[in-house]
Amino acid sequence: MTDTQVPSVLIFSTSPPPEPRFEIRSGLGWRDQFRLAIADLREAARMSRLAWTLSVLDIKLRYRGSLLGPLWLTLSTAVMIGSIGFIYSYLFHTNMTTYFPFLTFSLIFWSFLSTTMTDGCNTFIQAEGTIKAMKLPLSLYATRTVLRNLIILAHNVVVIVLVFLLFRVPINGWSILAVPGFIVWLIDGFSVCLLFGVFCTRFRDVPQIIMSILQIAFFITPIMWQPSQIKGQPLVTLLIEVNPLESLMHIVRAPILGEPIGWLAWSDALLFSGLLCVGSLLTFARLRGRVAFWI
Amino acid sequence: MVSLDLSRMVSIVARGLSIDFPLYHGESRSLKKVMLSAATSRLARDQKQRVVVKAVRDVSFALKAGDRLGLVGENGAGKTTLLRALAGIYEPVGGTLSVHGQLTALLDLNQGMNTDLTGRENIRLFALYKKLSRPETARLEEDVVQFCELEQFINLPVRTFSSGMMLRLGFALATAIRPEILVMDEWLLAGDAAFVEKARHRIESVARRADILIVSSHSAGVIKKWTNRAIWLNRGCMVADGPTEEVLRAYLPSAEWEELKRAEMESVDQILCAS
Repeated sequence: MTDTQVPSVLIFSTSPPPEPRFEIRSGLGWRDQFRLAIADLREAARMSRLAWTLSVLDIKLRYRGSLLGPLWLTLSTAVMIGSIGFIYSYLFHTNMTTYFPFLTFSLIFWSFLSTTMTDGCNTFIQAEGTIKAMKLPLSLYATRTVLRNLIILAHNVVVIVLVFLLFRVPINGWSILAVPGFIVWLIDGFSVCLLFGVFCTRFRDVPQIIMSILQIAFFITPIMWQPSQIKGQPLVTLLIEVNPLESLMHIVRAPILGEPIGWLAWSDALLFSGLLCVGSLLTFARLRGRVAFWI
Repeated sequence: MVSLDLSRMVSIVARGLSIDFPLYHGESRSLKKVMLSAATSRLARDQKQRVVVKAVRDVSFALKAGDRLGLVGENGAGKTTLLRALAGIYEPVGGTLSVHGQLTALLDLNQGMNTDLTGRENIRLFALYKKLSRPETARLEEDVVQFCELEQFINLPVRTFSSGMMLRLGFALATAIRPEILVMDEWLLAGDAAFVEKARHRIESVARRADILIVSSHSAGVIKKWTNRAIWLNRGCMVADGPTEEVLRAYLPSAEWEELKRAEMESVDQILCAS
């Protein structure tokens, strides 16, 4: 690897321009485009301290001047969970000791998923000034988006811990199985930021589309309601089974709540994540060079 | 022509460099419109003819250590686009570009500054962008604060700065790093009179230490003073390439050229008188 002290080498090589079209062929073969994309990812990995600082500053800025600072994150989540939990467990006539922890966990982890996706849309748009001022690996901004949402999640986990203590949810050694599930989430989150980031920079109406889809996904994924509540309805069962987001939720939620781990859910989640990663890598390798023009 | 030695030295080689700049207006930014136009086949061909500015066309040059290149041309001639491409920000659609050496580009006044952050936070962020170590960061902070004379304001959000103050901070940051290749746009030489003098001194020391300098400016004086080679761009194409003096003589209307020569003579006289 090149050191900053030693002259670093940067070579672009392209051949004559084709007709101006959307899928701009810079003339580089897939192999070269992949090489450049991988180099971008690798360089971003080396700048992780910068990504961390950027995301911490994002959070700090959001709460600068407020009395409680980022504690607002924890507090507003607690208020929301508290009110929804009581109202829904009353409406659904469910057992509060199982419903409340389920709701708390699902809602908080869902909001991590969905804000990573909606923030992912602005990954590059947000960094316009920097992208146009200096050459930095673009995947750095994806890392920043994921880290920022991770920090928010860390604030909200406090609420989960409190609720679990309050309702005496037993946590055993098997809960550690949530860790590999969460690692899958982080990889997916990073891929989503690259994929959505690129598309949303080009098409400014994509964020709205994504938000609407997420809105639907929120209702058809068991977050506010437990799968056990709708047992016996074939349509809904099918909906749960084909919903990749439910599989993703399941692989993290099941070990924590002590539910049996569905290996089908794991294979679904891995299949979905694999497709996502491949799609995102293809898109990124192909369109990475265009992002600076689109911003 | 390009020998193996070149790859170990600081150099820039551009061959047949072309950059298209897509222009997006409201319609082509919309996914719906693009999808629709793709679906309706005959319309598609028309719709896909997006407006593309041929910002840079077939530009070739090779620079080695010690070269000072000036870019001249009217507004919209492709100077800034070319500089951005050299800085690795815009990828060319055609040709090859190889850059050997650590490069700093001074293109934007705010250097990627986040205006909601304080001056000091921006300095630290800049240090991270440039991968400086902690002691280097401390030195950068000291140097920048001292140079831009904003001690009282450095802990306030940059958003509250006047444009002059922002310029100072951006300038101080940009010129605190000594690169091997310095690519800069003309904004650097704007600012209030007292600051300009100080700024000139600083930028000159940075530019002198850089192995390769590429500067684009409207001011023939700046180009003449700092560069020994110039490229004249017109509508993205190279019109002339050669020693600064010759290119400027061709580029400038004769009256302006005379004036430039006269101003130069006067400044020499002044220096002679002063000493």
